[in-house]
Amino acid sequence: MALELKSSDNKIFEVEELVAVQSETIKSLVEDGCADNVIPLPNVDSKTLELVLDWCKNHVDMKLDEEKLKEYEDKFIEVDQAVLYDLLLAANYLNIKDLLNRACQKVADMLKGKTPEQIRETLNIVNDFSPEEEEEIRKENLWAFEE
Amino acid sequence: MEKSVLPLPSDKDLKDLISQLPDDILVHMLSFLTLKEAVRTCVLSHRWKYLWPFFRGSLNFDDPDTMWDIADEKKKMKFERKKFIKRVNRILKLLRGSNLDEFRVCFEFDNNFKDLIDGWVDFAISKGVKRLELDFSPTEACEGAKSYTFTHDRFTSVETSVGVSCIKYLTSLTLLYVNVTGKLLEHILSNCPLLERLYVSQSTDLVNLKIWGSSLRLKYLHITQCIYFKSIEIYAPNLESFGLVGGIKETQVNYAPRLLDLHVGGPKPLQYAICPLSSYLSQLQSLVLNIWISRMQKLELPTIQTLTNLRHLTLRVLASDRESLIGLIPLIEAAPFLQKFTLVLSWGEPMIDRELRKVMKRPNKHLKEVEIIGFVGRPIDIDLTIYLLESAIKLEKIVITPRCPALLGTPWEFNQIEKNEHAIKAAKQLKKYLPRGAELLIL
Repeated sequence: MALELKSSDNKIFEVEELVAVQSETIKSLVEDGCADNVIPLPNVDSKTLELVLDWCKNHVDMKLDEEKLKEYEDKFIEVDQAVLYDLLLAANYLNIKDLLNRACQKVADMLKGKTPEQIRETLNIVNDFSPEEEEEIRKENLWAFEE
Repeated sequence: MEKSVLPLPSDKDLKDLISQLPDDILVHMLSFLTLKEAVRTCVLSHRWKYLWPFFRGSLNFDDPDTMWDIADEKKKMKFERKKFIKRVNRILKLLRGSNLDEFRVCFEFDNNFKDLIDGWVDFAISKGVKRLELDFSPTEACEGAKSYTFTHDRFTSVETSVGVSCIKYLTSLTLLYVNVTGKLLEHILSNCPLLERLYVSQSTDLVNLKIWGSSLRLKYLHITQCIYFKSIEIYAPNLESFGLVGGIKETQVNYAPRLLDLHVGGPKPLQYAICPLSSYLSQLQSLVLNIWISRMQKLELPTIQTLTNLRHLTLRVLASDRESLIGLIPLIEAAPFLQKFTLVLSWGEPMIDRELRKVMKRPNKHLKEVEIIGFVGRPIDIDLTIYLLESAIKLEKIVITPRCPALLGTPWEFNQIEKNEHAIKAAKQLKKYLPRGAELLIL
């Protein structure tokens, strides 16, 4: 059975139900009988939706091959921060647990082993603390900043 | 799919997008970090300041470096314990999330802090913790070890905030030096439908245990060194790994069709451990046996049926020099498709010179890997090693760790210098027995 999904920029994607229901959000719509017409997804643009559907399809296809799936996931998540941002929002909105987890893991990996200064650089964060404020916060949680 | 290898600076790239994600996505992301790493994000910017208290990942309160220092008498236990407890309490007070993936405490226990620990356990359970580990292993094993007691009504009463309704998220429970009764474990099993892993070590209150349930998800059950443990009865359709180490009187495994990995043994002769499980031996893929050989107790192997599915055999042996490990060969030969053999040798008695013993070798076409931890390079293990090298014609590698297994990972690992040097020398001499294509690694 095929479902029709419409992205925010009005592009229609036809997908098999088995693939689409990897999204808990779409799954509930199907179960409630609201999936007969085109399902509008105003929060996901076509570029991101295409990526998401590729993820879902491969998770159905490679379900039994853990190694192959992991290889796919590692390759899939090698994207720049802009795409990562879109994927995280989409995975959250569509409630696709494994995609959300993998994307979160990717961001977490970008933070691991880095000093706050290095993290700010990686994520382009502007330090909006005054030096006194920052000193105060560090003092409050000293144990976390010790080695 | 486009991948930017060298991103050209665009407006979007220079923007701090990740910080613009909603709270729950950022908090979810923080749970993939350690608590320390998560707390450190508070200083990134105002946006990140108040996110970490909602941390719901893994709370791991462990201080291995301090514990080694205490064991080495470089630091004082009492003082460090107080510091540790203060730190845990302070963090728990600040946490505001409603879930928790893991709560792990690893520090030596003291009866004065029982109420505090009760509070910590309550905290973890009230957050619907999935993996709970309490490890109160003492630094000095010879001192009268004190254990924390898991009180019953805390978990059996429906009315309390940490009663039955909250423990249902538990998937893994690990208890070391925690006194817990069989009755409480059974209660936990019947109220934690998601429990997959249960590990209990050194509980003096554990006497009888019945693991029973057709919908039991339990995959991993290991019970070690519970000195008053008398009987266990198992009906567990999903059990894959079972460990029972230390004395026990009655083992009844009624139904464990998925059993793949077994770890048994203890001070008593091997047949006491193996016989109750004889109908499961042929389905095992991995077997670990604890064997004690001494002057009082000679090595006596029960007749074992063919271990048709066994891929990995590990023998953890406590022995003296008088013995030879050649007596273990029938165990290796009982597994015709064995791919990996590991020997962990704890050898304690003074050196005795005796002749090497030879044994009839049957070519072993499947054994690919041999691992010997605690190699001493004396007749006791050289006998067996030569046998393995000469019979395993398809051997790919043999890995030898010439240091005492009990000291591995501790600050004293490299202490026994003379003994270790002798072992390394003897290990190097084994090169001449290596089959073609095999590699000898001395770690």
